[in-house]
Amino acid sequence: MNSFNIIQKCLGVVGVIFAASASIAAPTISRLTPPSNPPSADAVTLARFLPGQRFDLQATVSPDAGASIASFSFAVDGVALKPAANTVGMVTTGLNAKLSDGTATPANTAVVSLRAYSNAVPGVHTLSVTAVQSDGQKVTRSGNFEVVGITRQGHVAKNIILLLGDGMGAAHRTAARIMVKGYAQGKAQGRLAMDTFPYTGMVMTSSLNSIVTDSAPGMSNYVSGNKANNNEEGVFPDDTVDAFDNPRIEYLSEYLHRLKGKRLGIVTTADVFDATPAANAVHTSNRGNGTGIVDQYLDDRKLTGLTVLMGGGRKWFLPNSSDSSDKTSPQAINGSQRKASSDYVLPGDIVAGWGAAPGATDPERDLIADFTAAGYAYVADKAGMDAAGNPDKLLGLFAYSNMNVAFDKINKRRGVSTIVDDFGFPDQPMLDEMADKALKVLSKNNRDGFYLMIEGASIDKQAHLMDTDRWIEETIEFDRAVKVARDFAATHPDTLVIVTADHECAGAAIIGAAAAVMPAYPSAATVATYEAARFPKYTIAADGYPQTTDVPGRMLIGYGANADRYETWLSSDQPTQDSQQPFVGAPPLNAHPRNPALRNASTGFLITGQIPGSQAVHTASDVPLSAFGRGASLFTGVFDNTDVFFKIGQAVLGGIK
Amino acid sequence: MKTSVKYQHLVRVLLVTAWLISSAATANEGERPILSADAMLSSLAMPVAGVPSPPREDATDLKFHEFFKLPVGPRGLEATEKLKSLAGKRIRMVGYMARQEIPTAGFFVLSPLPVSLGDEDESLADDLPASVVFVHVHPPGDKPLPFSPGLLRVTGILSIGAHEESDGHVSSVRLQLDPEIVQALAAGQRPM
Repeated sequence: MNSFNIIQKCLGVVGVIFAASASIAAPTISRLTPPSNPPSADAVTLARFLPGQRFDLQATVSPDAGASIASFSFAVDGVALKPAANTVGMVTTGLNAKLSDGTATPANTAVVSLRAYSNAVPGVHTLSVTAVQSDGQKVTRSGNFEVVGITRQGHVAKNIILLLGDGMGAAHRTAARIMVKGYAQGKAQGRLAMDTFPYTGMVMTSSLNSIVTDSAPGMSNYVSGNKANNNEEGVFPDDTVDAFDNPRIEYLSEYLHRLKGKRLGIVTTADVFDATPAANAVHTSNRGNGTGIVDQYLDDRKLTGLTVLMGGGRKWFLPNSSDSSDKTSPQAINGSQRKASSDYVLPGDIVAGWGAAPGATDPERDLIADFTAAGYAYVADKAGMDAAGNPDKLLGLFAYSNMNVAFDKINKRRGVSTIVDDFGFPDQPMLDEMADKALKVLSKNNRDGFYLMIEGASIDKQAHLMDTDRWIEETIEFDRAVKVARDFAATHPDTLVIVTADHECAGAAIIGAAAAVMPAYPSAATVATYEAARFPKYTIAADGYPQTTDVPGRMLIGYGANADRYETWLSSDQPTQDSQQPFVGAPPLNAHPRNPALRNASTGFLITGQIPGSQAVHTASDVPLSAFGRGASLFTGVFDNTDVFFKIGQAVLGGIK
Repeated sequence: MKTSVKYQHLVRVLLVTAWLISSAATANEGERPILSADAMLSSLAMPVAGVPSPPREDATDLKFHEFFKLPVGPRGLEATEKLKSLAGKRIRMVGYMARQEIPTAGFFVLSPLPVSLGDEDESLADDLPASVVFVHVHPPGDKPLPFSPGLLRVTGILSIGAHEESDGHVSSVRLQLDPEIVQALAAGQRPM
């Protein structure tokens, strides 16, 4: 070892000692938001924003024992920020027991925020926070973020329609095509509407904290440009317990409403509080907070431009005035699920920074009445939707929780099933009918344009249940909504239509087909593979759905992310029970299979699962994305889900040559 | 020989499975609830036998599907005349005790199907069906009644209308449990 090396080693040791002593004797910053990758030459910039897009700055600072945090300031590119009045906050109570690194949260730890910051200058910017402890010691931590520039070129897209097939991977699309269009001699005999889109790419779907996302970041990442944690939507993670005080990221809807006056439409077959619809308008770190989520839809309509909201979820909109909160007029039974514990009240710095409604803990709120008072027409079934004409604003709540699936809705219309009656909602619209109504309302007297999200929610929910026939028909229903959007864009050429998924669900794969004659006892041997599978043929009825899915030689699906299930290779007459439904567990719904491990247990053969739990899970497989209309050419190649946001930004703000 | 033994075993497995499933299908709230798969599985797993409920001649049978009118109206669920007429009266119900992550003294939840409630991550947006009954124990006692898997038959005085429970849920239908049922449950018995 030469002397230079020895000196270098000694300096290293001194450095370690200095660092260790410094960490004991000074405050520490365990989190700086927006999140950054550790500095390195090849690290990608994690947090990216469109010019002027708003986001919160936040840091978690822990002082030395016995000390507290006296002051803090944020700086961008070395210049200290001067926050507007009341837009900064310091929180020292209600913190999580552990910090993001897993260590116990020290006493007097402070979460400090500067709300609704924005930057219009393209490029990578340095963000730093400096905190001063009560004894005068300082700490600084730096990270970065990027403002993605817009190139001004040609015509801009005025309207954006994003159709999200929840859980719809490549296999879900292919299965729907095989069933509804048919193949012969190797060629598809027709194309799904989504197949006709001229540009297609592949999307990487991971969330901020996992390769496998759930639906909250799965949607949020598309419309915020940034990665969110699982279960979180429109926010970055933080170190407080409150699920509504997280650092916010301005959504596409909010950004375009503020800049361009665009309206927002949300259409889903799920409960409207569900992660995908909510992740277009509501900011929370807990996707389960139904009361606060539905309240924010209405309360912050001036931020989002909410004009159409349709789906299930009536239970969140009904007043729940308990005898303890309102002794004079106790609430009659209405099935309300509004609760104080899932409601929201915002801290003052968010209210001031974002111009957001402060919120209130009000389970007794009659939200349908409040929507109506705010000018929304309220409809509760298809007949009501049809009769509503073309109102300025529309609220449609067609079920108590999630809506019934296409398989059961269409069988009711054919007069061969009473399942939707048994659920209590005999007249539910199909997704394409809702999409058509939404487009009429959104485009009425609208020079500024709109952003409409249409979700086929139960592709995912039925894939979780490995109910093959139900998710395939759900995909067919979704594609009919895609056709409605494409037809709209054909007559409104300043419209961009995007069809994609938030993630794949269940690891679905088309593994072959059944033999022409089903054996009495189904098994793996039932599956005709390769050339024995031939080309399954389904008869499509005038309503656009297969007359039956139980045809001889039917297509068979396997699952790579499966829980235990009994497989018969046939459709299930009854949907698997959903405990959120009001009449679940009582006759006749109690005769429905309770979960995939019980469904068909007397007639099927057991396929053991590879994952824990009773349902199949999401996977990290890339999902296809297809685009049509103004700006569609931007959507080719393999890209991240957050990239979609910036491509939309280019199409809407900069235009296309 | 080997094949036939294997075959017999297969038949046995199939029969048990068929029985399990047919019973699960017939009754979350069926006429013969003792045949439920959950009840059988739980009786295999735990030494809790169903014991006859004390006879209560003044109790009217009420079933979960008799709570709300069909179809559901635009302003939510509506109580049936039967449910309303039984308020303040003694009723008898069959259902499942919901599994509580953090059991609470003074009440448990009776559900038409086996469910869990109070998962911290779900902020009470949990899987409780709308028709659950909050079953109150008076006096509440110091500790929660032990969890009893499988179907229970309980009697008590019915009350309806929104009421905020001590865990933050707002209940619509409640039952003031009869003392003898409380005793049976506290003793680890499963009244049927």
